[in-house]
Amino acid sequence: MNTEIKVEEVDIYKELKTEFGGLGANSFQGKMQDYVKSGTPIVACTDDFFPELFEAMDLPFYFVVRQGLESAFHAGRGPEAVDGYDEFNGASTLCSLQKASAYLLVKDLLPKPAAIVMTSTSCDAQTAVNELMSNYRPWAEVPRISVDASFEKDEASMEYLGKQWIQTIPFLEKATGKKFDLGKFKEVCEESNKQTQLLFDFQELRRAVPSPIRAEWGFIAYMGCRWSACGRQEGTEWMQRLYDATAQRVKEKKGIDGVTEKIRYTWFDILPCWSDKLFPRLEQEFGAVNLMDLYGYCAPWPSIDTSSLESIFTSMAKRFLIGNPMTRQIFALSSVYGGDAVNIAKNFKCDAVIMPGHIGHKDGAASHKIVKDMFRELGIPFFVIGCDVFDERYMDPEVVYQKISAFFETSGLT
Amino acid sequence: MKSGIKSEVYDKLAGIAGNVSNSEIENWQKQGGKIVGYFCPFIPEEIIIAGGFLPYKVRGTGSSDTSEADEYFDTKNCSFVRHCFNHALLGKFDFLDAMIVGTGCDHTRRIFDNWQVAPLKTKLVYLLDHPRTMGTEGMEETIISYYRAQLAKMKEYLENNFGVEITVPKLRNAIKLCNETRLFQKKLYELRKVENPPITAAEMASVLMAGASIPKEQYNEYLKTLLKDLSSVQGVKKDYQARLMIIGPAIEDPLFYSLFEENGGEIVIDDTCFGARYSMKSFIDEEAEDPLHAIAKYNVSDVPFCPKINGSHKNRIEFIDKMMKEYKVDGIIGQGYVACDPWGSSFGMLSAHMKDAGIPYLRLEREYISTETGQLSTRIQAFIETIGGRK
Amino acid sequence: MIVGGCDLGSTTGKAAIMIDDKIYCGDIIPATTKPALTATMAMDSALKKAGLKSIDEIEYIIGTGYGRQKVPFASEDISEISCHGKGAYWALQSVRTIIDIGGQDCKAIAISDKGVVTQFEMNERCAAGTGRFFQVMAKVLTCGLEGIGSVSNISDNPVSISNQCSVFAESEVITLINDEKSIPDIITGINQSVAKRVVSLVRRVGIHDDVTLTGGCSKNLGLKKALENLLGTTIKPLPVDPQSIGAIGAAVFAKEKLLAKRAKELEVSSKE
Repeated sequence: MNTEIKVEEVDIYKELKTEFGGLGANSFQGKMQDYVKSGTPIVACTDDFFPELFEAMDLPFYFVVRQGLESAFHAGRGPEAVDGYDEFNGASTLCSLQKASAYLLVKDLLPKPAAIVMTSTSCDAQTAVNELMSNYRPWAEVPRISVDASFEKDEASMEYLGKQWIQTIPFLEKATGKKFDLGKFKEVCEESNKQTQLLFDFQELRRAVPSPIRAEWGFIAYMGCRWSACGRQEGTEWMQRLYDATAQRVKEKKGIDGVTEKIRYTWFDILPCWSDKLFPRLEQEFGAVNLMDLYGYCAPWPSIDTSSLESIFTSMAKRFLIGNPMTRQIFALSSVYGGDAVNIAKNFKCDAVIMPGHIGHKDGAASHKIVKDMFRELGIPFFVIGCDVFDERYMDPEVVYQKISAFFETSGLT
Repeated sequence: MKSGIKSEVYDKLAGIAGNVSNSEIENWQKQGGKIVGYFCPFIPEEIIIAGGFLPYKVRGTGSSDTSEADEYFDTKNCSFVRHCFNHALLGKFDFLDAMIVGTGCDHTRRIFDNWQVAPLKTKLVYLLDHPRTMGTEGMEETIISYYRAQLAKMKEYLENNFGVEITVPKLRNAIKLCNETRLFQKKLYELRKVENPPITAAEMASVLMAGASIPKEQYNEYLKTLLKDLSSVQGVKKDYQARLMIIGPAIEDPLFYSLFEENGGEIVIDDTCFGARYSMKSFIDEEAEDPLHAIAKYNVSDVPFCPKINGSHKNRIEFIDKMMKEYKVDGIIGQGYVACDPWGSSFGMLSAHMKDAGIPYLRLEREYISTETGQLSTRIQAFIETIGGRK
Repeated sequence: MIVGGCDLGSTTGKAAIMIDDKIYCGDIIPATTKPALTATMAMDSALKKAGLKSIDEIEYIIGTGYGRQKVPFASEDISEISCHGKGAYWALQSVRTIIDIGGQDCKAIAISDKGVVTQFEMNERCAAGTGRFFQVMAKVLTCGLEGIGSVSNISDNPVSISNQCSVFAESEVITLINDEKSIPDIITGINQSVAKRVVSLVRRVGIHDDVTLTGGCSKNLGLKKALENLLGTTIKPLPVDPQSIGAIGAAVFAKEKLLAKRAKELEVSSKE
């Protein structure tokens, strides 16, 4: 009887992963090759600031950086792309993911867009790629709109960003021939609000001890709701099923299958592309469970105010500046960056916090002392590694594992 | 290498450039004057001057290591920021009454965060939010207005903390004063168009650096005298093999320029922060009804100072192409500091541009303070030999 | 006409003497702690090979290499990049791309059909892709540099060395040894790892035939093979010792400089 239930539970997450793959395949980005073949106008954009607009305009779009992740690193061709970028003689210390994206761009391996939409966040590496997108062949002549995001996060700043974003509507209509409809836009935004609420509720479930699921589900949920099926009912339904399955596990006080949870920690950056070489070992060796990463973490997101066009964009600007992963932490003061790490550690009852110190996060590197001091005061063990979360050649996963083992041991957690 | 300028004023300016502090700063303070430090050309010295303060550009002159700063920063951060912050921690900038940091790149921005928590004598530190985008049609005015509002906030910060009033006439006077500096510096640059310039790149670097460390009225007087002194100088030498242009962030190490001169290269023009970018591109409108708006426009649309500004590449290339022609440049050097992604990436594009144009191009990625010059010297010498071989 | 060149590298000193059009290379001298001494030892060896009694018989000498300003008997100095270009072209006129892998530098040099350097690229500060990297590895493998050069082309199943930094790569290799991977597999892996770094430099200047290899590491056959695979072309051997190419180039330059100097003197004297 017991065995039967267990098999069924495992199947739910397997199914959810398969469905997630389906959402990806059915997304604009998943169908990109079809659009290229049929000559449908495509938009290239830099970050997920308003996928709702593209959805409402039925306008195929893709994130350049997601291409770098999926076409290069997930396809096992990350090193090739990184080395290829280095031949271009650009920035030698650029984030390896951005290197891969830049390589795809410079080598003309990305679908050529009819329009480019950019916003000036979050890191220096993003600026570097933005400049390549708008100045370098093969896209130098593509119409573009470049929007300035403020560092300040007061009301005036939200209006400033929102006001510029509204300009993308006439721009996109002109560049792609697609029409904008406010009613449709509101519908999509309301669906998106449901998704972000679910994302947040799902996150709350993950406070449970033992942790019901691995941290990767946070990132998967984010990609499902923001990158693949934003504002689509199928995305909301999928997210609901993920929530229900997890709620069930929490109710039954079930931890991760096959793991005896002893150490709860946070990996405070993007999950590495080489996760499989690290996390399972830490689970088996130390019973150490990673609870949260930077993309899986949503600070309370303000929902979109659908009362008018202006209110939609201003609230989306607010969501972007104080909610979007990375933009929220990196394009902010060190106190916000460290504050989020502290909040996660407290809310998710972490025994330790690991800061991978990704090569691309220069602002993070300049905040380590501030964050370290925050944790010293709190009495939670904190450790900076200094690896590259995409390109494992920068620091061997074996070395990372050894460092973390030593950290756990010296912190008295083993 | 020296051009052999016989000018007391030059010697004085070189002395100021060679040290972090100087006697003019001490005099200013003795007379009760306040000093406001800043880090990037985005922070308008005009507003600081209008408040009756002495604007001081923070630099790492004379720094030999970064061990103090490395507690706060990481080796992933650029050496420019680390050397400057190291100086701050050693108390070299204790003469500052306030410090203003801009939200430019990921490295400089964190000076603000770390300044607040570090045990520094200067407690007043302000973060100015400046735009990082330009060039989108129809959006220019929106961006300028936002920046203007941020400048007004910075002005209020200075007013409230020091009990001063920064009025429109005061702002206009400050703009005039700085435009005068720009004019004199521009004249200096123009002297370098000839075959045998009366002042070398290394000497020029000292003159420019000094300008951001002393009161502007005094500096303008010095420049006037220097220009007069130089009018009677015969000119350096004609035996150099190549006329070069250097592009990148602020270079605050006159020794670095000497490496070119020793190897037969004369850097006649540049596109660097506080270099030609300051004086050769554009001046601020002195008659503008709203001086803050004029300053904002200058920094956003006319002189985008750094590749951290999305959309600034085109503006930079146009300027470089123009200067290359005017100064009869034989080769281009893209010089940036390790860990700087915006400049690094823009050098990749610059390299392609120069390849298309058939102009010899050398990329140098180095540390802010040169200690190991062996490999650097080899690159520079070989580059100049390459140009010589083409001639 | 007797001229000479002296290449004072980071790990070795090399000298060449040119008598009319014939080149005499001295032995490769390991660097001592005194650069001037290394230079003198290298030149003494070349003098012996050329059958000369004294350095005074040489009319013009060019210094090159990392310590080019420390060559006590040089009339002037020229960078090793120009000298490798000049020397390789002198040895084989069809050369257009030169890969020079020395003790602590690695360079890719493009030359024109007249033997003039048109573009070059050099490794950054790090030891990846230089002789230093091999030295570190040879020490770990306790096989000596000759060992790395000779066993290398045996393996069909090379390991992958992912770290580009020599310090981290060292620990990676130690792990591989502990995992009992075969030494030829490891050495081939090391060669491939270095070759990758080098080829990315070469691509920046463009791969144009003929390609040749100079500098101390040119004697590593496994590296040469790995480079050929990645470049997609064969590396043309030079008819002289590739490690002495810098010194030979310096000597060729010395001849040109001396001829130019004589022509000028002639011009001056005829005017008088």
